Amino acid sequence: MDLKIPHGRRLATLTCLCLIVLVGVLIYNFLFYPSPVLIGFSAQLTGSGAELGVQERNGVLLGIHDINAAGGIHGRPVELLIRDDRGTPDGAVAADRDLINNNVVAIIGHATSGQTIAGLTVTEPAGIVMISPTTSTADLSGKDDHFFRVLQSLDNRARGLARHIFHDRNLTRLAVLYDTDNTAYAASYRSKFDEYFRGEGGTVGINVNFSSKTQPDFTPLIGMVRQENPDGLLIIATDSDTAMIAQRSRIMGWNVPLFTSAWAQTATLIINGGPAVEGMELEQSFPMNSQDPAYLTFHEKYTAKYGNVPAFGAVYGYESVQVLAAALRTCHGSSIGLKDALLSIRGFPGLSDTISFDRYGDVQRPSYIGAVRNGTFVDITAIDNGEL
Amino acid sequence: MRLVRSRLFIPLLIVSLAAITGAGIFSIQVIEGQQQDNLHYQAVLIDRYIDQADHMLGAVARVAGKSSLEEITTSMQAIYDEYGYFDTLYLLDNQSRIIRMVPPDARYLDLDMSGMPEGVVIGTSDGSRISRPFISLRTGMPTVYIAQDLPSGGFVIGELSLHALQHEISAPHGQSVDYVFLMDQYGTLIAHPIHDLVLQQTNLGDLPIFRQGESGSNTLFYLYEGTLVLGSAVQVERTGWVVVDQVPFLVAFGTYLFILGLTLIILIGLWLIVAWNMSVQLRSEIVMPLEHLSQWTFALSAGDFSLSAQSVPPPGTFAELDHLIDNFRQMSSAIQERQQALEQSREELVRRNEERNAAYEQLCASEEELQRNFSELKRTEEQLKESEQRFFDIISHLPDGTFVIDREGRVIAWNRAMEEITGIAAEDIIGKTDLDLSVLIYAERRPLLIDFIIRPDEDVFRYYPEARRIEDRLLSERYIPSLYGGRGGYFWIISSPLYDSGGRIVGGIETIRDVTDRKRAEDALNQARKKLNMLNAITFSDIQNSIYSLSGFLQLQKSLPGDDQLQKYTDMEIGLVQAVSDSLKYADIYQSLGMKSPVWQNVCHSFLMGISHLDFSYLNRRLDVGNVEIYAEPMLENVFFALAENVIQHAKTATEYSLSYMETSDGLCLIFEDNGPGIPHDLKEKIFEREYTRRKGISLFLSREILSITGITIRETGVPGSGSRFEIFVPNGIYRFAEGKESDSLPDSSQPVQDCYRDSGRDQPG
Repeated sequence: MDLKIPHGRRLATLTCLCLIVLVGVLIYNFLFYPSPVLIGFSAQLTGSGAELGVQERNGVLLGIHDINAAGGIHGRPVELLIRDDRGTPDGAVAADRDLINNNVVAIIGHATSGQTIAGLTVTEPAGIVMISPTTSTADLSGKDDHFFRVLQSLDNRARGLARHIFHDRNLTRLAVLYDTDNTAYAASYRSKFDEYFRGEGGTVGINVNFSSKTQPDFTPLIGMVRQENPDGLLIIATDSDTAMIAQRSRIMGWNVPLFTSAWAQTATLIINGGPAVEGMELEQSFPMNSQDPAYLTFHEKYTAKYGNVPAFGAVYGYESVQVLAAALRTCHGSSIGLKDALLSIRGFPGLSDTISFDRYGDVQRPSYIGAVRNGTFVDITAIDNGEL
Repeated sequence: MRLVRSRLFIPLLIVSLAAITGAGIFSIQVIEGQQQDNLHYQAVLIDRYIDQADHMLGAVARVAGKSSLEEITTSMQAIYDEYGYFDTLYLLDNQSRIIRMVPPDARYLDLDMSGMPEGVVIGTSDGSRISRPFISLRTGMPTVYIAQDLPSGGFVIGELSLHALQHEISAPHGQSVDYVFLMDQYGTLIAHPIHDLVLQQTNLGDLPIFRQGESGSNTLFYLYEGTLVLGSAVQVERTGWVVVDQVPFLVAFGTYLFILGLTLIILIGLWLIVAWNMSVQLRSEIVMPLEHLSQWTFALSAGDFSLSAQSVPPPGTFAELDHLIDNFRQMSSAIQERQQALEQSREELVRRNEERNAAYEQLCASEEELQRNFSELKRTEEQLKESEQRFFDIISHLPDGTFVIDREGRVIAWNRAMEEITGIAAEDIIGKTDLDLSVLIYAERRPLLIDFIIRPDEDVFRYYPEARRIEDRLLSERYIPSLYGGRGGYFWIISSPLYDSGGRIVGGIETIRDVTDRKRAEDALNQARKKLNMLNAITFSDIQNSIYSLSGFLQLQKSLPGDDQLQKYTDMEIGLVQAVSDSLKYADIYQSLGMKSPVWQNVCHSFLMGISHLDFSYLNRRLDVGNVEIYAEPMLENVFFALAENVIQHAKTATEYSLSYMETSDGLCLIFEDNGPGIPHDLKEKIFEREYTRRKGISLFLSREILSITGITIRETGVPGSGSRFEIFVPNGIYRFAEGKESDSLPDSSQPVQDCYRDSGRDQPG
């Protein structure tokens, strides 16, 4: 029998079918669209010391872009919740608490040690993993907690720099200028350097501190140090302050060998320092003139996206989110088991070397001694971490 | 209504959709136009802001070429104070060292700024330079450096705060709900309603509108923080920065959606009015006539021709419809005529169909009956086969030779005994029609006894004179020399017919029993009996002669005178001699029993012969035995003599006697009775004993012996006091009725004895 359906009824049926399919697709997308994996980021993003945090954030965002382009975490996209800790411990606590309340599986941050220590008072009781790109204070080493970092502890690097100055440069008397706004880092670094430099046979004649927030005039400070006539000057400060101190030293006609920590290892140091920072030597956690293809690709993408060259903070931000994503893949994007997944990581390919964590979550990777030559950072030698 | 829908609503819908789409496009264009206007305004504002600062620095540069350092400083201070947007003004010497600052800050004096690469301070078209925006370390606000070359070498650099743009962009413009922000050439925010994003140097370079904006102004929809927005972008010509104006879709199109809803309501209203009007018109002009036509069609289809053309509305607007109605009338007439013809055909078809159905039902019933009969037949056939098999099994195991033939003489059963007797195997003879059984059995061509069963009309005694016919069976006993492989033997043969359910003979069965040994024993016995009889006869004759002589001498002795004692002894001796003589007579009679073969004897004749020596003239007689003949010992008349003598001797009061018969299923009963005193119960059997009859009557014992020779029995059944009654029972097969008219009436004592005296022949039962 040839069953004929009226034209109008066919049209209505077709319309209903289309609506049903449309509603079905919407329901399917609503129910089965993969929920994103939320990762928190907390660092100083505003204020005079924000450059490191901004670099880290940009590196993390670039890393997330690459992770999502590669399929995310088992098909789930990664989203970053960004909070500004304003460079204060209170801001760090507030930022981390807000991120935890937003159900992030882990937090990348903070940029500086003081804020990291403060933030851990919130994340540790909550069992949330915190992985810091640039925190290097020795106070967090050797602790079985949920804290991880991809930057070596300053303990090792301070020792390497002390040995280099004493043995390679044959300098025995040093003066130190350091910023107290990031005491957890600067004071710790100064203390360790002092300890190791003295241990090598040298002496640190004078330690002068300042607060960058007060925008101090460095001339009297440098004059005070110069009176001690040290063989060299170690500056533990931000990139801009280090550049300012270097310029002021040269303006004052004091051509003392200058040394600084990795904290100042940014383009700002070279831009603002100009000729004054030429020859400045520094310990650096990352070889900024690396020719590793992974680093060169990263460097190219970062420069194209942000219009400036990546500093070490951007590199470690990128590596932090990459190693965190690797661990999240093994625990399917959940915070449960994330600590163990991170601890099990061995030989993870970074941008220039491999990353492994010890049982306390401290990274095992090399660090370097570098210098500013012709307006760029160059490597001089690698620091042997194994002797520590 | 389909017409309304397809010809009216769909076009209306298309037009409405087109109008809505057009309105949407128009709205987008309006919004885009508004955004573009706003963006151009912002771009011009920014451009002028930079341009003005640049001009200010240009003025300083011009002053610097003619003035002293102090005058230049004064000029810089004046500009700083008047313009108000420079955070700092630097005067650099030809070695890029800071030699003056407004406001003054000793910390920066003499700093070498030559480390700033060319990329940081970009060139502009008019020779001035402007840096990429950055967050000032001192103010924490977005800032740019603007530099002007000095004629004497060196630069004047203005640190221009862009915070003023933040205020300009964030400030609402009239009733606009637009969201405007400014990005540098890499997408880093310079100004944004959320100021923290600017301070955090947030990069929005991934926004599609930014990439579009870099290549010129454009407008597109895109997602911004999960919200669909409509954005436009314009690039600031002087700096390459991009200004974006975006508005959330729902906000931008709120008015449009309101207009759209209003339009839809109006359209729906219009549609309803038009539809109602069209519906009314269509109903009166088309639908009603069509409905009438439809009713007419329905009536026609139902065979109702009562509706006429008058029920259809008069001609209306549509000539086509009128033409349709005319055609319909003609069609109705044609259909009516055809309907009548069809009705006749249908009735004929119905009649034929009923006949066919009846025939079909009958056929079905017959088929069912046939099925039942067939099943019954099958069952019967199976039972018959089983029965036949059992029958053949029984026959096969019978000790006597037995075979069965059908009506055509074909052997259908041949048992093992027959195989032994004839030496012929069953499989060699069963079913064969070309074999002559008589040759196989008798070694000559002659009819078999069983042939006379199949053809009972033929004379069996011609070929089998010794045969006897018992009912429908034939019996024979003869010597057949050809059997047992020529050894031969005596055989007792019996043939019986086989009937079908209708009583028709369908075959016969014949049994052959080997009686050679019995026959030989009988022959030997007969020889011995003959010799014994001969010895008895000689002995009897000698004794009888001696007894006669002794009796004569005793009579002579008795006639002699003598004493009484001697006479007494002589009488006793005469009595003893008489007893010996009686015993000899009895023995003579008894020994002759069985000496002669039984013969068929007429009962009436034997009875009359038996009583002929007695005086029965004082008794009434009733004789009712017709022409009955029985197969009995030749001394049958002595039996009747004994019975009659018993009446004379013991029934003194009897006045009549009778002999009659009665047929039963087992045989024939001859009844001899009188009306004397009868026989007491305790003597009814004793009277047939020899000891009793020796004393009272010797003949009843002898009578029972004579009758028993051929299986006939006798007993007394009378009622004491009412007369005696002797029943002589003759089994089937040994009595018959002689041919000729039977005597239905009883011959009484007045009739001559010859009336029933007939020669019944001396033949044997067959």
